[in-house]
Amino acid sequence: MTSATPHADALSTASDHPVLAVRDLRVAIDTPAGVVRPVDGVTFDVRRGETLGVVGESGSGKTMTAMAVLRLLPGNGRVDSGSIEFNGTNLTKLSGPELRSLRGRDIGMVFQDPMTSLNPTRTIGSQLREAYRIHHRNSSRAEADRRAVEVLSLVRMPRPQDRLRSYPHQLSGGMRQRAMIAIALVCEPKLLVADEPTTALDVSIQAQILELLDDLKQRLGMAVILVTHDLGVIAGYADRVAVMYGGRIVEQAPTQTLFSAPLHRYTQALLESMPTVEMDPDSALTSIPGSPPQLIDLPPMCRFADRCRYADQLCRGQDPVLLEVAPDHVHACFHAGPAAPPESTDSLLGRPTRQLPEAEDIPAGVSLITADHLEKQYRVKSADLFGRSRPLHAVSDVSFEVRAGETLGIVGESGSGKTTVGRLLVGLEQSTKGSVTGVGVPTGRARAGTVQMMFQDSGAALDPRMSVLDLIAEPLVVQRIGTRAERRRRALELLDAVGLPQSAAQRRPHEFSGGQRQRIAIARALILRPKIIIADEPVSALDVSVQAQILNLMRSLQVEYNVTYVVISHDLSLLKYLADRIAVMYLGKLVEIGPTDSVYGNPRHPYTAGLIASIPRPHASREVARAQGGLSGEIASAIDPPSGCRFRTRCPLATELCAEQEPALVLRGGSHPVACHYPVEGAAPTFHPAESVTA
Amino acid sequence: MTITAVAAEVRAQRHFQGTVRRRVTSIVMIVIILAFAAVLVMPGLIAHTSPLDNGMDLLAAPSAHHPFGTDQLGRDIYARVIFGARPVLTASLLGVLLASLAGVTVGTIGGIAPRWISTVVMRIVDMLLALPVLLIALILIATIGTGLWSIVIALGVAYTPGFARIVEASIRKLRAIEFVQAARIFGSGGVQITIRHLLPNLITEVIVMASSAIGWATLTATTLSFLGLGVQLPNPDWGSDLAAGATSLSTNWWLPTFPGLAITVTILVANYAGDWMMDLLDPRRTRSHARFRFLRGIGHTMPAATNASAASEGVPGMAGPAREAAPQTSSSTASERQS
Repeated sequence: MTSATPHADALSTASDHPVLAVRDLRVAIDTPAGVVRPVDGVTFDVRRGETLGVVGESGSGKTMTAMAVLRLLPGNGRVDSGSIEFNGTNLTKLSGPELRSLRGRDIGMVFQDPMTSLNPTRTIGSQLREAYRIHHRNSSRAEADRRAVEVLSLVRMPRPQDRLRSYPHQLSGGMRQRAMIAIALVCEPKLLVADEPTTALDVSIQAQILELLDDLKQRLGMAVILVTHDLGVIAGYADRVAVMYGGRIVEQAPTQTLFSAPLHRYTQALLESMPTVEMDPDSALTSIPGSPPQLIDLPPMCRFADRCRYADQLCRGQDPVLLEVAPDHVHACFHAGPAAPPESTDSLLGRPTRQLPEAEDIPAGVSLITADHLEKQYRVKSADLFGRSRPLHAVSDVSFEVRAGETLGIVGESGSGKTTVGRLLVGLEQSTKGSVTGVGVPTGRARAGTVQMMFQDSGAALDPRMSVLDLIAEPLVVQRIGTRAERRRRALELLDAVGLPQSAAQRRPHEFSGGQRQRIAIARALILRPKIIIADEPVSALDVSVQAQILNLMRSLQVEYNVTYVVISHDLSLLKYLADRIAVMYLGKLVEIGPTDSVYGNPRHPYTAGLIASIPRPHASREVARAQGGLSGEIASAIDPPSGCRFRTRCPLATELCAEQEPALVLRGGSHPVACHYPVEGAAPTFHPAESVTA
Repeated sequence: MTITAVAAEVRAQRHFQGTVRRRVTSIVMIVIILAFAAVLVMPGLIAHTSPLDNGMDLLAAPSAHHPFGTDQLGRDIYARVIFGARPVLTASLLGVLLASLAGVTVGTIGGIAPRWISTVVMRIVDMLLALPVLLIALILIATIGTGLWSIVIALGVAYTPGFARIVEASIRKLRAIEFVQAARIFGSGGVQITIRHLLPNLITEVIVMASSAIGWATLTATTLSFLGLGVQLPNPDWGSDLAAGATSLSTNWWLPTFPGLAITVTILVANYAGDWMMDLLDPRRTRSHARFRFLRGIGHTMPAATNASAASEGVPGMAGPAREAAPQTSSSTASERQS
């Protein structure tokens, strides 16, 4: 670095003078439906060397707040009132050229998806040079190049010199996000705004990027605004947290205080509704009923009142003001108080015990469906006209069984083949080798009665032209079951079972919120009374508060309709809550399978151990919240997978044996099978720093 | 009064304003389309003189008696324009109908048939697409002879590849969307999926494309008759009348101008009708929330699909998140509260 030598003590010298001071900010967006106010009276400070976490559900205004700070609002949006002071200058008063000279130089921005925020037609080097030379008009190309290499090494990009000539598509997701951060840092900004910087990344990469941001903040003494929906990320990496709801900050406190003693009822509800690794899977999640308000022409009232179990006339009658209860701890709630244990309204929804339900024909615990040496290869076309296509090994030699009445969780990073396994089970894909067999699991059209599927994006999984009733009854029509009236009756019955009113029957899917659509999808999956439902990321498109509703519903329906779930997810906390057994996949291989408690409590495969360590936890203690000894590196290519054990390229324990011989999935002394030559005993292995492995 | 109730009331007002604008547009469009229909079916209602009547006034300029003037033989140009619409519109409407039916069939085959069949079919479509429409039409007319029906067939063949290409692309796109895969999981066969899910979701695109194709087909049809390959004089036709009057633009401007204007107006109306239809047929159209879509792009909150599987390569527009601005009618919000 030329000027910014690493200051280890930057934090301690953080002055009290805020870098950014936002006061009563109001943003308005004109739409044909009315004026939307996504940010409505937001006040906060960010100090030097400090990370302010802004957390909230979709539509809470957190992104709009970040955009307003950069004055990057959409065309029909404007800052209505309030001030944004950056180092003493009011940004709301600046002209276009003045703003432009500020953006990039003094305020950097990292967006969610590095694929779309980097220009695909230009090299990383040229994009870095551009960012530098816009603000250093007189610098030469060589100078800019030197600076580019400097920042790339700062973000721990392996072989930075070579990377200058790489295009974004030649880098992996994690490396692209590093490049994006490098661009944001090239002019040494005093404030970095990171909008969901890790949401598009896998959990192992997420931990690496967050560590990097934290380290850079300390070394460069920047102020950071970290916008995210993930409380776990906030807990580990923010110094202070602002919780947003309905366009307002409802509570702001130092991270530790917020997680140990939240005062606002919304913060409490949010924390309760999130499944965590630590929580007791036998208890039902506390869900927040309803969905967030539309931010058009709202009367003065607490925006959370409609969903709050403490709300009374006062909450519905006037705006709560922000109260300072302790230094740095403010909240806007009329009924603030320590979190009380929730009323057990959901007790019926949860499973009181882990007793597996008995089916009429198949006793619980018996293998219902068996995947036998499943293998799936896709052909990847070569770019050359007459080039030969190469096989992509999506799933290789995977064997497992699904037992009646259980919930089997399949977990893995992107590219691990977990979705393909789900599609093979349900018959959407034909296996290249191996087979799916089971008790009463026919192939072809008749399988529909036995195995059903729930998709991640219920918006796409429901035909937009059909009414809800037709959608739910469609499987019956296809299978030619029942008369018209009978189908209608069964569809309405299910609509009731998933908690939607009968009036929903004639509406179309787009009239519903994401959570409601997922309910429709569940009803449709259940109508043929299948024995197994494969749920592919059933809640990952939903907000935390709605997630809990769906998870509780899935659990209660499991008992009521006696179904077996196979839940595919990247979210380890979710599976800990939902699954009885967990199968861990890596690069098309099943590496570990066993009862949930035993896999989480005593992971045997280094990959499982690393994955579990990578989960950011919403916990008051920063040390617990942070990923400790998480995975390093990134998933290898499935076109040309590593020989022997596929995980060896990222494994700290790998030896020659791992490269030569592929470990089989067998019982190796522990409680459950694992595919590793050197299964972990007790403590998790420490992973190398990223650069030594990914290079 | 709850947040949702107030918000719903306000939205209802705005909704009403939006509805008024849309209704006016619809009424105007329907009037125009009815006028065209009248001209097509009963031209005698609008023009009282026969287009073939040789009047006394030769080459009269537009006047109250002859609003568009008369030609060298004293025929009323207004009558000729009105009656001339029939062959032009017949040719383009039937031609486009033919093309869209053939295009949907060919495109559907291209989209769902086994790989080798669809490859062969779509490469032929590609070859036809490489040829100019007019060239294809000319070759066909040269083979089957002149006349109205030849033009219909020529237009039908010439516009088929365009439809086929669009339909094939849409089918491939739709097949990757999860609701089609969900239908496969219920046990639907290929034909069932095509009828229940693919074609209904295609219909918007086909209708929109057809309505603007009518405009271009009108141009092609009149070009063919301009070249003397369609309706033969003295029968009225915009193309042949334009050709006949083209040389006298400097002396008797009304001879070519009014047939030319008729062609232009038809093309404009057809294009605008396309936009209107698109708006009308969108199943998500209930409210003006379409304008909210930009908010979804910015307000990312939840992780995107993390699986690099074939399933996730969906279409941004469809697979994209509808959650953010999911139109919340007050009752649907209430229903979530009940649950």
